[in-house]
Amino acid sequence: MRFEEFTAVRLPALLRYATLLSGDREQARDLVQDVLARALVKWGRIGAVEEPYAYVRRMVTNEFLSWRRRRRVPTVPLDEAILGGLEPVVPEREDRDDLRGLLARLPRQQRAVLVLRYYEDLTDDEIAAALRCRVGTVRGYASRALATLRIELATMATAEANR
Amino acid sequence: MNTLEDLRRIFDEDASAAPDPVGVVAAAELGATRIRRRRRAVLATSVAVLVAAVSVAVPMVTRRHRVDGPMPAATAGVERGPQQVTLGVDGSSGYAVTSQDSDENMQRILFEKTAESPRYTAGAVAYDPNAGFDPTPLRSGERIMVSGHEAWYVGNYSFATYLLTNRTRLDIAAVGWQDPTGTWVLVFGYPSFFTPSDSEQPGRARLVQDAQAVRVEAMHEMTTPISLGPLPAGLPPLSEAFTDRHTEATVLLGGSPAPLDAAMAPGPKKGTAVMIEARPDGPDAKVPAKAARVAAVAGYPAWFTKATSGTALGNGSLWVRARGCTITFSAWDRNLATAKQLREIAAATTYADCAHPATWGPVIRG
Repeated sequence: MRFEEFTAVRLPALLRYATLLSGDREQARDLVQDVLARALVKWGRIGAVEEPYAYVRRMVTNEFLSWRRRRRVPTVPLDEAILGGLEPVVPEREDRDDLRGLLARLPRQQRAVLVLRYYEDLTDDEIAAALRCRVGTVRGYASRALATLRIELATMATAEANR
Repeated sequence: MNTLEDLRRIFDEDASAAPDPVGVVAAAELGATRIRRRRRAVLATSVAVLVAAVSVAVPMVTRRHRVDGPMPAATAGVERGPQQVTLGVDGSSGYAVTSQDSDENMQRILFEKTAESPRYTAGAVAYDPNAGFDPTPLRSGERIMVSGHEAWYVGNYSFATYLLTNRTRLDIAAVGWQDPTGTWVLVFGYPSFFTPSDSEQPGRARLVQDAQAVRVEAMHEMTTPISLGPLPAGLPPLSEAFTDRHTEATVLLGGSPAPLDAAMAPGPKKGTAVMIEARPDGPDAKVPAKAARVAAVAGYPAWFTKATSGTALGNGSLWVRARGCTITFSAWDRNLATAKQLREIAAATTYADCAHPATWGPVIRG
C-alpha cells in the first residue's frame, strides 16, 4: 500500500485515535504529524506489512507514551492572535461531567488500554500485542482504570464475560 | 456510578472533535524531509563536534597530566559534570550519535548506522568510575572480545524502564566492558516502550558490531542551543542535559541522579527545580493556550504561563522565542523555583540557532 493511499483512507481514524489518547486536538495533530513523518521515511517497510494501520497506530501509541512527550505541556499554534492580542486562542475545556474528568486524569498507559479496548474494539490479546506487554498487564491496567472511572461493576462483569 | 456505555459515549463524542486532516499529510511530508536531511547532516556534524572536542580536550588533558601526573584509572572521570561527556562512537565506523544524555553518574547515547535503511537504533550507557555500578550481572555473562578488549555478552540483562507509571524491568541482550579509565560501558538494542519482541531485538552479531563502534573519548562539553549563565542564588545546580538528534535540548536543574539501572533518561524527578527545553521553531511553532505576553527576555519575545493545579509545573513556565528556537523555562517544583528565578535564568542565557548545531555552545557558559 502506498503512503498516499494509506493516509487517504486511514488518516481520519488515526486523528480520532490520537485525540482520544491525548484528550487534546492539537496534541493529537502533533502526534499524528510526527508519527506520519517518521513512518513516511520508512514506508517501504511499513507499507509492506499486513496491517499498516495497526503498525502506525502502535507508533502513535508509543509516541503518546514516550517519556519525551510526557515532558511537554499543552500548546496551541503560535499565530498572529497570540502574537498580537495575547488572548487565549483555545478556551480551556471544562470537564462537563465527572467521567470525562476522571478519564483525563488517568495514567497514560491505562487510558491507552481503555481507548484500544472500548473505542478501537481490540481484544486484550490484540492490545497486548500492540503494546508489547503481557495480557495480564493489559487486564491490570484496564481493571485499575475502570475502578478509577467508577464504572459500574455489573456492566463490567457483563462486558468481561463477553471478551 | 458510571457505565461502559457512558465511557463509549464519551469516546464517540470526543472522537468526533478530532482535528481536520487538512494539512496533516503535507506537514508530515515536510517532517520526513527534515528527518532525511537531518540524518545526512548528523555524520558531518558529529565529525565536526568530535574534531572540536578533541581540539579542546587534548590541551585540557595534557595540562592536567602536566600538573598532576597520570591519574589512577579508577578515578579518571571523577571530575566529569553533567554538562560534560565522554561516551561516543568511532567517527570512522559509519555510526553516528543521534541523542545524548548525561547526569552526574552516567551518560547515555542512541546511535545508528548512517548508511543503513531502515535505521536500527542502538543504545549505550556509560557509568562513571565512581558511580557505584555493580558489574556482577554483566560478568556472569559470556566472555567475548570487542575491539580487542575483554567484554561480556548477556542475553537478558535487566534494565529498568520508566516509560510506565511504575518502574518495570526490561530484560534485553547487552554487551559490556570496563574502559581503561574505569568507566563501565553497556551497549544494547534500543528498547521498545514495552517488552520488546524478539523480532525487534538485535542479533548477537549485530549487537557486537554496534558495540565495536562505541568509544569512551576524551572528556568534552556537550553542546546545546542554550548556554546557561550564572544561576540565581538558591537554585540547585545542573543535574542532567539531553540533546536529541542535534536539534533540541533539555536541561534540568536539581534532582537526584537517575537510578543506575535506567536504560533511558527518566527526565524530571524528585528534587528537579527547573526544566529548560529548547526546540526548533517551524511553521507549527507553539506557545500555550493561556500564555500571557511578558516583557522581552534578552531582547527576545517572551510569554508566561501560570501553573495550573494538577500539573507538575509548579510556578509556571517562561517561554522565549529566540533564533529559531522556542525555549521554555519551567519551574518543575513550586517549592524549589520561583517565576522570578526563571526570568533571571532566561536573561542570563545565551541562545543559539536550534537548526544549526555549529552555533551551539556548552550547556554552562564559562
